[in-house]
Order: sequence, then C-alpha cells, then structure tokens
Amino acid sequence: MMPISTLAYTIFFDAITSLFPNMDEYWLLLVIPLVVAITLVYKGTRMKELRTLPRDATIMSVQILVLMVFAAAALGGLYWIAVRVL
Amino acid sequence: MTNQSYRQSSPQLEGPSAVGYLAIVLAWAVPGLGHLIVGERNRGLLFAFTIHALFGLGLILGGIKAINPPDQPIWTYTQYLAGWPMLISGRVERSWMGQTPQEPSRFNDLIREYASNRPSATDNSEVEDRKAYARKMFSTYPILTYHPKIQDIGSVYCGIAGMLNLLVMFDVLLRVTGTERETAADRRRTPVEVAK
Repeated sequence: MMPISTLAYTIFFDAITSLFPNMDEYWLLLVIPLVVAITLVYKGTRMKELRTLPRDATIMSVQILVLMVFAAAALGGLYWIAVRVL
Repeated sequence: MTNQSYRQSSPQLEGPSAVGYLAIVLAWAVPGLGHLIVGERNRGLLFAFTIHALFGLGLILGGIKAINPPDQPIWTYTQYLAGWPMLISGRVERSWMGQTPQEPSRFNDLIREYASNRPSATDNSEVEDRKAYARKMFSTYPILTYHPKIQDIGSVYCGIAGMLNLLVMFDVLLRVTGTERETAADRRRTPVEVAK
C-alpha cells in the first residue's frame, strides 16, 4: 500500500524513499544501472564502430558484476575467518 | 559522418580549430554535444542519453539532497562535471537548503517550524502525539525526511555522471586533435617495431 507521503511527493526533489519506504533494503541492486551506464560510456569512447556496442557492453557489465560478487564473497570469507577462526 | 571530418578541419600540426575548442567546452556544458559537433552523431546521442539518464536517476533516487551532500565535497566537485544538469540542480539546492544551518532558507524555516510546533514530551503520554505530529509533517514535507543509503546512492549516481562526462570530454579532445588511441596491439609492439 502506498503511504500517505505520496500526496506530497515531488519528483527530482524528494527522495524516492518517500514513495517506497522499503527501498533501503534493496539498495545493493542499484549498482546494476550504475554499472550499465559506466560500461556504455566507457565502451562508447573505446570502440571505433558502435555496431557491436550492445553485445560488448552487456559482456563487460556482466564481467564487472560477477567480479563484484566474487570480491564480496572473498571479503565476506575473510571477515568470517577473522571473526570465527582467529 | 566519419572521423575524417573533424580531423580535416583541425589537422594535428595546427591544433584544434575554434570549433574544436568550442566542442570541448560544450561537451562539458551539455553532455554528448561535443560529439554531435564533431560529427559523431550516434556516439553523441548515446553519451547524452546515458549521462543525463544517470544524473536524472540520481535525483529521482536521492532527491535534491543528493546534490552537494554535506561532509562529502568530493561528490559535489564531480557532480559539477556533469554540466547544465548540475548547474540548475545546484542552484535549486542552494536556494532551498541554504549554505549553513543558521542561514535563512526554506529548509531551515521548515526545520524551525517543525521544532517550534512539536508537542512537548515531558512524560510518556505525549510520545504518541509527537509521533503523529512527525508523521504529519513528514508526509506534508518529504524533504524533511532522511534516507542515508538511498540519498548517498543518489549522490554517487550524479557524481559518476559527472566523471563519465569528463571521460567523454577527453574523448572529444582526442578526436579534435586527431590523436590516435593506443590499442592493445600497439602496446605489444617492441620499441624496434615501433621505430620501423
């Protein structure tokens, strides 16, 4: 159910959490559009022809996200070792 | 249009033409416009859409508080690299939030109004009144609410949009000066091969 705060919500001015108060819980997913935008611009500056941009940008985005998942797992593992083992 | 068009108008030996310099400045002011000027239409549209969308998404997520985040000036600097979106947002942010908590501004006036009309809480019986008052104020003025994670992410989106625009400006610079990018194959070449 939408909270009453939707009545006063102004786009670009109020935080979107006024509309969706539980959005804080899914903040990590917001890294995906960021990675896609970075990849599109980076690949756009590097490629001579833009014909294969969608494919190349998708591959690079997935590579970055997978790397981030591995990095998070490695850091989580180190944290677990530091807390539980050492 | 191909790469040739702006290289012919600005040969490497003579440096960029006036249009080339204008393209670099306009690449900052309006993301993507630099590429449109040098004839890279599709690339310009791609950069314009991506950078504007990222900045707009940052504002949608974090609201005006995503601009010029307190105690994090690095994001403010990078946000200014995004050009006109930040110039306008920064102006709105300054007019609403003020420079200091003491300075008269609409946000500080709201904070004072909130504090002065808040029911007193000398005992537990009045806590519910205060909660109801806070809910009413927050629903009327969502700007009073604070969402650290989402507002920080909004700041990051706007800041990254600015940094991407810096990358795009450098790309315009390379194109107007006719500088060839070094490729992976170039890096593998030995000095002897390069000399030949």
